[in-house]
Amino acid sequence: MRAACARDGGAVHVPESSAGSSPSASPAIEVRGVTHHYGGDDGLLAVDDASLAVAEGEFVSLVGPSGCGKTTLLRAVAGLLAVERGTVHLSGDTPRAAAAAHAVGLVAQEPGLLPWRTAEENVALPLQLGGIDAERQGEVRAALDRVGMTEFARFRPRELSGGMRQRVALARALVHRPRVLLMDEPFGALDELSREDLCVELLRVWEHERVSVLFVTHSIREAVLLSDRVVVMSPAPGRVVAEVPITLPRPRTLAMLESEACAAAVREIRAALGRLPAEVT
Amino acid sequence: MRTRLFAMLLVGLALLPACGAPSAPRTAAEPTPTATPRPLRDVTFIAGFRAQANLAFVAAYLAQECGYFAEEGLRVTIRHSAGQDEHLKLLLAKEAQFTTATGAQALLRYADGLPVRAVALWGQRGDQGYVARADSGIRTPADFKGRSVGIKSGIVPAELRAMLAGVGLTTEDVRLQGVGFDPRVFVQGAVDIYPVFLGNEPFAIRKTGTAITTFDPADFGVATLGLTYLAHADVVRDDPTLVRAFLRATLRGAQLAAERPDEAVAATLKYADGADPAQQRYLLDADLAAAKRADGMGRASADQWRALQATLERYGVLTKPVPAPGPFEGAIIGGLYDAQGRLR
Amino acid sequence: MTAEEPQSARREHVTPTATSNAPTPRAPARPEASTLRSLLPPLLALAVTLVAWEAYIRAAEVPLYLVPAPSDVVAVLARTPGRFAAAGFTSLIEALGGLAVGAGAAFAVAVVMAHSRPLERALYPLALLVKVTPVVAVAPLFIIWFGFGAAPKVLIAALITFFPMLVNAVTGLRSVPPAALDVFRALDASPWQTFRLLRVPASLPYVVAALKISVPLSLIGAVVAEWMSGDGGVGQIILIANSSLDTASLFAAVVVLAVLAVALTGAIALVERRLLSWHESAEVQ
Repeated sequence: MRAACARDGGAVHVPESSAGSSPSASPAIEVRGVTHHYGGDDGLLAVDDASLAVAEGEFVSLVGPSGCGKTTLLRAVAGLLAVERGTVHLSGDTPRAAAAAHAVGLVAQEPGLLPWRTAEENVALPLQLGGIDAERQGEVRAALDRVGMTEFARFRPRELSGGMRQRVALARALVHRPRVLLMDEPFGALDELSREDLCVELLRVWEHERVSVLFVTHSIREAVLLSDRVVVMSPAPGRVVAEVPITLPRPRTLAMLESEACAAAVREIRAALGRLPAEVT
Repeated sequence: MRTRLFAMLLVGLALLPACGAPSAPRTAAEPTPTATPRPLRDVTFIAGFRAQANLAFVAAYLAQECGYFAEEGLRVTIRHSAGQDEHLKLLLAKEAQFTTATGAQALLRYADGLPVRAVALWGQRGDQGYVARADSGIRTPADFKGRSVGIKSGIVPAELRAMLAGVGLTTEDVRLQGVGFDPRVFVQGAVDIYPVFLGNEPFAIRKTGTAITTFDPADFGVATLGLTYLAHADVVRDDPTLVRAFLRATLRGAQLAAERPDEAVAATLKYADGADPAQQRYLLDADLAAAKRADGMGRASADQWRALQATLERYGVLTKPVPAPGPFEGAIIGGLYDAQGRLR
Repeated sequence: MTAEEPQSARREHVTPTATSNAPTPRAPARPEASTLRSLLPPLLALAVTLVAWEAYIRAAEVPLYLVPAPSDVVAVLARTPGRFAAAGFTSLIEALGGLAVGAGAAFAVAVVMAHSRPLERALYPLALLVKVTPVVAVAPLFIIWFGFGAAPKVLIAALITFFPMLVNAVTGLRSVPPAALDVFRALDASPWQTFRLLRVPASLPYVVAALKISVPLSLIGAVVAEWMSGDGGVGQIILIANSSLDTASLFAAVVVLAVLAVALTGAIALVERRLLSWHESAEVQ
């Protein structure tokens, strides 16, 4: 069962992992006391002493209003920026070391596919960068199958719809079997129906893979549908103000969005968003 | 700017005494100038090259500065070619009434059927030749054998073929090399023998400290002619008065240049801003020497033109027949001189 | 999957079909037929222009030494086709050489500039200097330094093609989509991998666009260099034709240049279609 979460900001806790590994193992993602400004020391304070953790195999969403620094945190975990203060570890490694170990998969709002490559060539990219040649064909095929894009393997990005491109991006993020999947509002640019389809797709894939996921979104319903736990951040400067466990059973279905448990969770998250952050002593 | 204006004023003043002493006295038979001024005719003269002290150009400069054109009832605009051979086209389009061209050019265009006539021959001998570095061991055309010879615009001039033929050589015995118009390729040693306008580049090359030997085709029995004044055939036929007036004014200018070359250079500098006066003087002196003629500057004989025609035909430069009466119209200029070769 | 599967489960595994924002699927194309059809309008326009030109010259009795009629130009080309072909070939080789050298040098410099803003700031004024230097000033020096023959002409053509390729290549190398760059970094790609697999392909549309601009420029450069040295090629034909008022040959030389330019640009368009079918600017068949 999920550990109870602290409701007031900033406390670090290491939840029991549902996979049953030893509680003293390093969490898949551990963010401690991170502070960061936009654009150098004189810029706007993006994140203020934020901490969170994702256990092995846990699906954690990060929600908050625009500008609350959630993308900054995600980019710090991905090793795309170095934080001014605080630490970030992935299973005990630095983000750069984790990237070097090909432990990270990244899906952003823009699919970031290479337009001159076909879908399958795009999916093959992480393997190519890692110098893995032999099993490549089989892995790529498998990844495309998992996201339901098998028949579009030879298509180029400009021939695919937005939702299809994100599926390919998801396949690419998983083809090298990373430990951690980082997603930054990946369905933000899509229409509502496509969003729902892709949420379902993501759930299905995740059930199969059970990677540790940090999922940034500003859609509360999406966060509730997908996650084991929702971390709530305040507006800028971003602080963690609440962590809400989601007790809906797995595997999740779209119908659960109508349930009372879901509504309760949504209310709780909304309340947390409306609250001022607790005083930091 | 002020000093330039002052200098021009000085030059202008210096010219006044020069212009004020005409050396071709008018005969008593000339009508005295009337009180009312004659209406001036507008004429355009376009020199076939940029402004410099070629006698054909200087004659016009002085005719302008000293008012000779005005005295002949002409208001002349002097222009210069930009180097694109457009002066011939302008003449043919009747945008200009007079221009300059070499004797060979006049003959070739005439043979092409273009309506042009030469009305004065300033260069009794051609102004183009060759130079070699003094230390290259090339002293006569016979020494050209096996050496590199520059040709401009990709055309092998008849003079070169003639000079080589005179010593039993052909262009097969030398290495022809296309060169541009910058003599530095010759100074740097990229080519052994370089084509020049004898009154022009040798001076500049010597200024670089390079000692050279010059080869004038005329010294080797090759018949060439220098610059002419060219006019449209229609003008020559229908308006000889205009031609006569223009020639008279320019011949007076040429005479003045012969008597006072320094003032002629000063007049040239008004058109050729920034030119080297010493080089301009050198060029003028060369042209004056080439223009000397007993029966009067600017005249030519049928034999001269026949000799030129023969040379051009012999070396394949002229391939078309030359219809009568030939490119040169000698009657108009002839009528301006008396039997002693003095301007009337 | 659990036992109780509600109706909505059928929606759970959604295969992607044509959704509202899906583009039209590829249709088979017949390139030969469409090429012919696309050639018709310009050919027709050209034919009409030529006929009108010929008619005017005849009617107004414009003399040959001013402007030739199309029939005069064709006659000259037919009389000495070998001369024009040989000259065209010479100019073509020089232009291609200049294109290769200029574009190659520009791309190399662009790689340096794209990776280092300080270097870009340092080198840009020099590049501008190259651009504004008039060929007339530089050509004689090149002949003195590099002798006669093809070298100075290739270098002059290279000089002219350098700048447009430099600007485009720098822009192109920098035009990588930021999301793709993030993915590369998150996968710990080396700088060389990022350059080879991301920047270079991203720059290709810009490079090809610059090539299209540079083709006519390189031809002009070669011809101007020949014209200044009087040393073979189309430039020499122009020089001789001009001085002897042979306007028919002059225009014939221009025709040769035009044919070369069209052929080269067409070749680049073919390469473009092959290499850049993925780009938004490519036609959707």
